[in-house]
Amino acid sequence: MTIRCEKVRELLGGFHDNELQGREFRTVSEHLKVCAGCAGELKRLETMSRLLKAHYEELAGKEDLSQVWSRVSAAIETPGVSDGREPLLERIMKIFALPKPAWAIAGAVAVVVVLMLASLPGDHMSTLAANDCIIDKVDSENCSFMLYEAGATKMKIIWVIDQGSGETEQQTGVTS
Amino acid sequence: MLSDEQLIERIRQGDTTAFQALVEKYQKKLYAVAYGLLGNREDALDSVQEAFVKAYRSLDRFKGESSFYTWLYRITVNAAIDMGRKQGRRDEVEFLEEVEPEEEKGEYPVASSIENPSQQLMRKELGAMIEDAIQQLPAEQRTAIVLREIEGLSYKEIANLMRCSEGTVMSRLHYGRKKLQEILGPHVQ
Ligand SMILES: [Zn+2]
Repeated sequence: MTIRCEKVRELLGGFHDNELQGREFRTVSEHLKVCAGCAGELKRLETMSRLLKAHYEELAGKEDLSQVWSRVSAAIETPGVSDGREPLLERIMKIFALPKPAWAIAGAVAVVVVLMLASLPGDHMSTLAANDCIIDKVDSENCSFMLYEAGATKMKIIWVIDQGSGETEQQTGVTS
Repeated sequence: MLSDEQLIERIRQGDTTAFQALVEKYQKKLYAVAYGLLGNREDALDSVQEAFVKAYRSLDRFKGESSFYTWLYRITVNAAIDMGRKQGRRDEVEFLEEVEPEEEKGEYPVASSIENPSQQLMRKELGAMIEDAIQQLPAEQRTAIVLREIEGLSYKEIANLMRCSEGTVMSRLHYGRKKLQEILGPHVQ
């Protein structure tokens, strides 16, 4: 394999995917006319692409996908958080009822909830500082819950993020 | 046949049958992608369901800057990655049990009529090997490979979805394919 071959092999995927232009395209196509090794490599790329596509298409074709709509419609017909909102405290209590080891630990250090409730605009992650630590994240039907510990103060903070509305609520607690 | 934009407009006016049309239009593609990313049908179905529900609930935030299906892919890929993270990678034994092909369905007699039993067996084994090989790739290479090979997305679309440069997409594909060829070796000649 020549240096030219090595260069071509790096570009061969892009050539196969029809993503090369101009000089790169010409370099590869000219080389393929004279190099059986690289032409063979291209064949192998093509075979693999065909196998992968065929396999996953066959899988999807075999699956009974009518269940997708029945599951989706059942989920969207149940009132989302934005329309029958549960009190926040109940939602928090539900988190701790989940059989998640990390939440159990958080429960053990007795997070005292409902100190402050603040609506924050924009990206909820943007207020995370570098030494903050996400203890756990749980996604329920309508919400994501995230428990993290603020590095500086060791304060545990629970985020409740509505999937539907994108609203974020911050729930601050202190450890005992 | 209504366009995606027309369907979305109807959904915004409260027409759920328009949403059903969108689900049925994209479910097969999204399922194939989710299966590729997650490696088993239950998680794939869950993440597809989750993606459609999320899409429905946040349709107001879909601004039409990208095409609807690119937006849907992003939600699906995120849902799949999230699910993979939440549940942890499955161990090998469980994985192999789950990919056991279902023969009895018979609705899609894919080539079985012209294959003899040993050819059928080889095809099934190859399928299991392909899935196994894909699951061995690092997540970023796997995502790029799945979006390219199964879905045929362009580098630009993949870069947009994965929030990286097209050069990065090219290199993830390059190393991913290299690894797949190492694993699948003699079967890809
Ligand atoms: Zn060469």
